[in-house]
Amino acid sequence: MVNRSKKKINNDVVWGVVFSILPVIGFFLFGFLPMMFSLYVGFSDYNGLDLNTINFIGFRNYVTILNDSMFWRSTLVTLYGSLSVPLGIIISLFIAKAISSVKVGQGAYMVCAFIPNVCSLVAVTMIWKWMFNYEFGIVNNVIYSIFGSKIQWLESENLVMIVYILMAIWTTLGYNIILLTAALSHVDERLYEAAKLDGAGGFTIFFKITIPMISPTIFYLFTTCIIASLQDFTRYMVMTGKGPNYATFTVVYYLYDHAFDNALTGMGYASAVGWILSIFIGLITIFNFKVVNKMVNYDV
Amino acid sequence: MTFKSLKIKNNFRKKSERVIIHLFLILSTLIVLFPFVYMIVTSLKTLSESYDSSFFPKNLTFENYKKILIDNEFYDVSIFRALWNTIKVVTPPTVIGLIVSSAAAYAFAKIKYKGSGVLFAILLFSMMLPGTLTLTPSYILYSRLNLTDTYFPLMIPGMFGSAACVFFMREYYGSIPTEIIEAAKIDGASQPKILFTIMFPLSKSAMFAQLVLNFLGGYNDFFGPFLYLKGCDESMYTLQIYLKGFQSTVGTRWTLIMAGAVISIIPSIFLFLVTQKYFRQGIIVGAIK
Repeated sequence: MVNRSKKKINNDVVWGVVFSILPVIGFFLFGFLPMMFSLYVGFSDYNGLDLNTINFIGFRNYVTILNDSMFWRSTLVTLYGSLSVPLGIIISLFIAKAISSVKVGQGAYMVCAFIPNVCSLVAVTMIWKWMFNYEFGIVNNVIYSIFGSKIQWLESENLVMIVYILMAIWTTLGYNIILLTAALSHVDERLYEAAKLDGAGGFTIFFKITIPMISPTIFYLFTTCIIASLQDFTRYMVMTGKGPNYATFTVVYYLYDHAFDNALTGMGYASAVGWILSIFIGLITIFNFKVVNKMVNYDV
Repeated sequence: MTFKSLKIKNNFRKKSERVIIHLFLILSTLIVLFPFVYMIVTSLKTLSESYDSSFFPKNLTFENYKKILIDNEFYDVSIFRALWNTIKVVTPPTVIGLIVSSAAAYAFAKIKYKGSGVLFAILLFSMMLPGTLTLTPSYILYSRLNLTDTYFPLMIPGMFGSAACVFFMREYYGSIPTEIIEAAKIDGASQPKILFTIMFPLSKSAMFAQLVLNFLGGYNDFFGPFLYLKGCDESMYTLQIYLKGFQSTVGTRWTLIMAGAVISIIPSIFLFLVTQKYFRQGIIVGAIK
């Protein structure tokens, strides 16, 4: 009898391992292995062709990258683009607050806001490129009919990032709204009532109760969206390429350019860029958890 | 002022407040949807009319759609071929990956064994790694194995499941009472039987949400196919790189580009609207925990 139950347990363990091992193997093959290979290649002058002629050059790639003004310019471009994250969260918060205070149509508003998120980024980027087209786009048509002149949105070094920031706010809006509305619905009604009895106004309630109560969700959105935004690339390639005077040359674009379009530097260099970017993302995430997280209220 | 009139006044204030909020929300929704309206309107114009500043087309034309869908003027292969390629590439990893991830999630939630915590921690850690890190090395490895310009790099990794999906499904299985499993065990059910005949049916709405999310992710993916199918024949293109190539070919004929965008977006929006109920749950459960 004892023996039998022991065998049952062992069986369970075997199945547990069988069920859970595949995703771990997947990570090992397609995550860990390439990562280690990238670390190895990052210390070499590997150009992507023959692995036999590979030379190890120590930290030279890393030194060259950190001394390359174009790398720092692309870092600034990427950080500039990440402004869309806080702006997007603030705008979503207003809309989520509005949605949670109405009784009908909540679902419909959220579904509409989410549509940009489910569409292909290539198609959506084309729409934005057309909207901000200098000669015939709708934005300049409207501006022309009011002010009598047109604006070079995508051709101007100073304005082009504004289009990207607006577009990023637009694509992430629905996702932010769904999560923020869900968080708002979990705030205890009694807190609001108590505050009202104490004579608190709408603004005070919003900043002293609503924001602290949903701060874990805001923090989650902020952290994950920043990580995604630092790796933004596809829409830049579709809309403006490197942009006027490299104004839309993001870090991942820089990496891609060196890996696939630049025969001089090649794969070793690009792998090193990947590591620098990852360390940078790691530092920002640690900063978020150490500093920003202090402002988050978890005692709910 | 009597109490009654105060109440009426208060009610009136509440109502007008709600009307203002609805107006704000409707206005926001119109702004969000406007780019799509503009896309559709442009796609129904003739080329010369797209250079006018009038918003609506004077004469509706379906010529742009006809050129892409039927005449096939710009490619040697039809857009339906690209759509079929996309379905062919995306479906197997989506379905197999979902089953693999759900099985793992069930094991992590309900079968405790020595080391399962460590394995789960490894998966959690893998979610935090930036995807960019593996971009170049994966490309090198695939090209060394002569697997670039095939569908392998796009299909194989997904079949091992995804950490995000495991994480999401584990939350779901964690909320299923363990007594159900114990009862099934007493009836002599083996673990695979429990998984397939009890767990999967119980979690079908969660699994469905993941299925749709992952399928759309694959359908909309541009960078993967762009990187790995760069050198291959047009007949192997997936929809997104077909669309990008199409844009380069027709250049500034925006009416055609917008028609192409409409065609590629319709399946996504359709799928989303049909399944949106599951969608929202899928997003919330995955993130709140």
